[in-house]
Amino acid sequence: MTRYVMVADLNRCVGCQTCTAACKHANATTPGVQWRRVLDIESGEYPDVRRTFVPVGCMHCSEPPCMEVCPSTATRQRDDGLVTIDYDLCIGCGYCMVACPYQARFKVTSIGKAYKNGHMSHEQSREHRERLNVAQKCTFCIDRIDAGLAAGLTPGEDVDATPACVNSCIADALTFGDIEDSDSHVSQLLREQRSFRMHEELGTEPGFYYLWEGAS
Amino acid sequence: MMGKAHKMHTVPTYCYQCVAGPDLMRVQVEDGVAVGVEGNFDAANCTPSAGKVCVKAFGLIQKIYNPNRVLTPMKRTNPNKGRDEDPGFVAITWDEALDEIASRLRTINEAGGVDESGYPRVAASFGGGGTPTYYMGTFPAFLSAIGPIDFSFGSGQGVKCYHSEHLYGEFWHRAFTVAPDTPNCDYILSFGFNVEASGGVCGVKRHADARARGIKRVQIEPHLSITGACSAEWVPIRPKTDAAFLYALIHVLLNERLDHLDLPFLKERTNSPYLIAPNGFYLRDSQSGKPLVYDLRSEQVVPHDTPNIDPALEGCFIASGIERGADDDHWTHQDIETSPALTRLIEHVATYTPQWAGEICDVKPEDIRRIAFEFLDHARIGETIDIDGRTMPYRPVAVVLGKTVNNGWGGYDCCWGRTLLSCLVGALEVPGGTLGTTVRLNRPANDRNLSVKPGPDGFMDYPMNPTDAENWVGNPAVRNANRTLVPLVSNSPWSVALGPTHLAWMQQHQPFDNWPKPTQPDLWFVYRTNPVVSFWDTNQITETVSRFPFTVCFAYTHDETNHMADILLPDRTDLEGLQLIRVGGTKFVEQFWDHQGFALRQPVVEAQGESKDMTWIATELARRSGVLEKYNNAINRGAAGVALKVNDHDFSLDAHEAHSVENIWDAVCRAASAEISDGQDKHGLDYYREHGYRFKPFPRIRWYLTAEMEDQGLRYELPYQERLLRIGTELGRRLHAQGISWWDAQLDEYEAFPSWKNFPGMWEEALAHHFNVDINDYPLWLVTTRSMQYSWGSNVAIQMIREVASNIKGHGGLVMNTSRARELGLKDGDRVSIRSPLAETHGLVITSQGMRPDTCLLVGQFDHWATPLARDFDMPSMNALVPMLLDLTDSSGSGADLARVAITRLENNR
Amino acid sequence: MIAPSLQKYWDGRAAGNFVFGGAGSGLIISTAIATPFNTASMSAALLIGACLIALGLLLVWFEIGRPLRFINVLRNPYTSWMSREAWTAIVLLPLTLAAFALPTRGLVIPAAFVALLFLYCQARILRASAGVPTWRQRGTMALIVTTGLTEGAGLYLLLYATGLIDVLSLPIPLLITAVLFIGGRYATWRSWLHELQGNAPTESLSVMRTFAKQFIVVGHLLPIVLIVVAWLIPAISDIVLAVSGVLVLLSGWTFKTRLILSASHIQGFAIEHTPARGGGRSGPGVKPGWS
Repeated sequence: MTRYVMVADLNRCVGCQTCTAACKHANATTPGVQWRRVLDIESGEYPDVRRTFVPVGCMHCSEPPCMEVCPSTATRQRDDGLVTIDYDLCIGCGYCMVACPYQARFKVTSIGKAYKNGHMSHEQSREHRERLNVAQKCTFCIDRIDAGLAAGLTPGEDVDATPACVNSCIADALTFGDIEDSDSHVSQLLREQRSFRMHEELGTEPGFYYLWEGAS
Repeated sequence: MMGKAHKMHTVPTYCYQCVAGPDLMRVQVEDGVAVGVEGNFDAANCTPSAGKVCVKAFGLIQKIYNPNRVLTPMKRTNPNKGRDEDPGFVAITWDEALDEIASRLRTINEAGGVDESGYPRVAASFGGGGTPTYYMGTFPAFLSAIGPIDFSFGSGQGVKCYHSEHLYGEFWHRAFTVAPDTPNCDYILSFGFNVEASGGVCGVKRHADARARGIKRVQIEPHLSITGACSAEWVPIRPKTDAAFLYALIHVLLNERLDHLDLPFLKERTNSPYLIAPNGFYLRDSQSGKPLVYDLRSEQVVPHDTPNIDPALEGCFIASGIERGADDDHWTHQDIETSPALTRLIEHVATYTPQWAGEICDVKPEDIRRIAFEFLDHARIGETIDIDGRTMPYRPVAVVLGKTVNNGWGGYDCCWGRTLLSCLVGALEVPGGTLGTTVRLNRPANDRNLSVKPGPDGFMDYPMNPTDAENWVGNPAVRNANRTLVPLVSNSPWSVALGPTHLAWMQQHQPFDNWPKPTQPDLWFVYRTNPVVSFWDTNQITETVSRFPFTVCFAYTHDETNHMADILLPDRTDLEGLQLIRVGGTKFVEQFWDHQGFALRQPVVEAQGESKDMTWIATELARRSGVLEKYNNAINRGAAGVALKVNDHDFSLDAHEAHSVENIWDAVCRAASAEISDGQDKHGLDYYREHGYRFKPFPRIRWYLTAEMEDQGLRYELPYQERLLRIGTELGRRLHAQGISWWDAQLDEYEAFPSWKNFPGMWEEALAHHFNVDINDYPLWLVTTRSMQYSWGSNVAIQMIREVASNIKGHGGLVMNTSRARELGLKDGDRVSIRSPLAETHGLVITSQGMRPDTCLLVGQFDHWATPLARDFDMPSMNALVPMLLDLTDSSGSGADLARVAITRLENNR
Repeated sequence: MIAPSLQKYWDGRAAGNFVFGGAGSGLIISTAIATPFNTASMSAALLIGACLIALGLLLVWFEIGRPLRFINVLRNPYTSWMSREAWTAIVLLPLTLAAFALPTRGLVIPAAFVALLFLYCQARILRASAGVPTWRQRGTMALIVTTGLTEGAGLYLLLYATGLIDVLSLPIPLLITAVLFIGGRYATWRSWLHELQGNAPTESLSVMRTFAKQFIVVGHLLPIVLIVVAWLIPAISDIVLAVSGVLVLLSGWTFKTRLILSASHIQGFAIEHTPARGGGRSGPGVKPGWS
């Protein structure tokens, strides 16, 4: 079996938003829609204060509440763990959006423009009308993964089979791969470092791990 | 997903939007439209950024297609200039625009190029950190061809840069910029050095790797910056007191751990053992004139370079010799008591205890002491490491300084303290330690090791501007008087821009006594910069710029500076132009590479509108101004980055012809190929278009200047500053002879050992004095910090950058300490007036626990009122609030981003 | 952005489905309970109940992004309570209309059971909304069901008192049922509110705490007092019961509107630990907006 997961090293992440931008390019998302983004979270009280940068997006949960509630079966889960949306089935009811505890889903009602006074060439050439009025979210760059696999590449190891956010990360904070493969980079990281998953108490079994301390 | 087949390919190019570049990348082009950016992973193993680019590069796609671009040359129709005047720009042809400029240049040329004050009639201003050079093609060749140019009118140089570091860094260890040897370092003291925001991909990646292996970085800074967030410890220090902290660290090491310091390094590589004579200059051998040391082996005083000696660092010795002071001052001493520089240093810092510094810095004294010991403990004194087959000291500790720490009053003190701390543990320019990464004042610029030449007294030579009566440049050649006032700024192509640039602006408002009349340039070129937003006292700058008679702005969009322009020239954006640049070796910030070579920037798609390549514009201007031959010859000599005559190969351009952009860069590419292959290859433009770059290895031993210093038997000129004491005295005499006393405070900074002055108090006093206010009415310090997403990028007009930057706290307004805000009756989102003694601006409150209660913060430089998109940000900037004052200008000619402000809620929240 | 903010995915149209669907199904159930006391064959209450449910569903249709594909809502009865709600409505609406139209009482009881199922589906829709802490509580199910039942009873009282439905005499058992429903709503409300402590963002809690007093007094105490008054003083029972019914109904609707639109702060983000940065130490986690 294969189960693709993302690992974010909170020690490494600097919150630069390069992954956010890379995702926007790779997926041509509308202005204001960020399938991947990095939060800037402050904790503690002066002078004992911390700031933590936390990459978030669709967690591709093993028990995705979005899929359970989806009335149209547009949201589904592949055998490799990727949670997908069929834009042609989705009725845009928004139920998945209230079901997702990670604010990972978006719905836009019009083709967005970065500038009010012009529709730029690259915006026009990459319009995604099929995403209008339906749910959308991070796909883990499913097209790259599938094309990569078809070309005999390994997601998480080979650039051409790896999500754009991971490729772009300048701090090497994001790692992607198959958690069922004990030799994969993600498995190795999770073995060697301590990690948590967000809102684990909700039973969603997210496929997104956060490394927070070196030695287990 | 798209439903139809698309033709996609990628084009290699580079991003050099910040000083911490360049980074290689590829641009995805689909059906002739640029749609995305990705790293150039072919270069993953030979660039320190692993072939990646940062968020700024991703803004370049929108930069091409931004509907707000200026896409035709334009001419002003409203003769009145000012913020409230509509320029009335109308489109004109390139011929009209270029002929208009060329005709003025011809007139200027006929008038001799300089005006009645002796200042160049043509001025040019470029944006921060020298990055515009990597986009302006052969424009430097054009500038060099048209005669004297005044680069005095800075866009932030001196007030926004690491100014003291640039000057003292180059002086002491060929370090225009300073960085830790992060790949080998274990412990970093960072005084406001915000590497995660300003260190580029390379800096971010190296520090992330270092954190993964457990490096401890202590961030000493008034607010919890991005770098503070990523550090093991945050020490919230009172603004502008960093020098006291550094002095206390030095005090602890010298007073409590002297025997544990790197004594061999101090003896052999520094001037610690040099004996100091009564007037503060070295005691010298009366025959050779060489500085003397006391040899513990022979128990006698000998010249410092005597072989097989063990020079004393401590003690008091009876000795004889001569002493040379400023100009012709000299003294002969017989059997006087003298002591080594280090002994003097110990006495000098005796009162700088942690207790003393703790009160000044508002930091617990025990923390200062602990940090001093941690620094020493991590230094691994005595250990070695093998680099490229050579055994080097291994000292994995570093000290780095950030903006504001590093310029204005206190900048010298901090740079000295930082460099000295490294010397005390032998961690200067050795593996793991504190390194310089490039030179700009010394030559050659592409390898700082080659700039190491023996100078006087066992130190490196330094191209100081003369201060002796015969050679002092008493009549400034440019409006900021860099060579006249600042000996350290030297005389390289970068020196003018590193002069006291705000002096040029200030004089336009208020002339100085006994000084040439502050004329305006007849013609001012502005490229990739916006000083009306990015300098200080922006209201005054606006007014000054509106009085310049003829301004030519290379324009991307309408902006605040080109609002006052007479001609707008639409040059091509980053992804539309053609240029080959030198990369690798050691460059700014942390860009020390294991490779060096060349990289190409090339058009990834058809250029938009009528925008033109900078090289085309330069060639056409040269041709029309009648300086084509000089221009071509400048390119042949290397003004485009490579001399076209390499070894036995000559790719020189015919000096009498106007060459196409492609032909010029093809010749440059061929010369570059010949240079990098030692004449083996002559690959031209086509090769670089396909591959994007060409590298050869750069030996890592060249990261560490100490290797070169050892080979040449040279010492670092620390801790004692005899040379600075001398030139300062001489400079004072020259200025006073000319009746100039307004630079006296700056002269006081030329000390052999810098001593603590109440730096925060200097700001308080200067502001209170100049504006006749009670400084207590302005209770909060206002500081700034770089935005990783915007810094240097000229990208405020890019929507995507705005969108993603908003994810990071501070981009929406004024950051204040939560409790302090509550005391003032303020909460998040309240609209407030931010008032300094000079001016007032408005913004929204963002409360944060990561902020000293006596300080507040404004991120980046905004306050735009003309630039499309940015003018709707409603983001305040400190630039309007900070005055340009001589009182707040240090001897290097720099000031610091610091203000005092009062915050009050605007009643209607509007 | 990090602390829980109000959900913006469902607006008043979605709230309308819970408001009208709950009252409509509750009304059908109350009608069934009152059946033994009815004189006429069938009550107009059934028609009103069906119309309310249909109105709620119509509002949802207006809310969804792709209304022409609405039929896809039926595709996932296996796990989605929204699909199940739709399927239930497909059964409930014809059944209720048949019960109204056909001269037999036999269909009222099945219609009431399907209405109860519809109400349960609505409750489960909220319960399955894992992203909104106030909705996803176990107690939400009972609370939404009792709220629907109570609204139905209140509406029934209103219809009775205003003569819109034809009932022979004041059905005391129905009054007792209404009181029981109101009591049940109070109990499930208390239990739900208790469950929210520590399990919902502070902003949501604050909205509901502010609402609690008026909800209890206006939506529970006062209606019960009025019912008792109506029982004791038959002369004014019509007007008193009408007021009581309105209070019960509107308090329920207000509660649900608040729940969907004002106390619906999303989960927000949290980290279990702040990381060790380099050689530094890790720190405690943080859950902004929750304490």
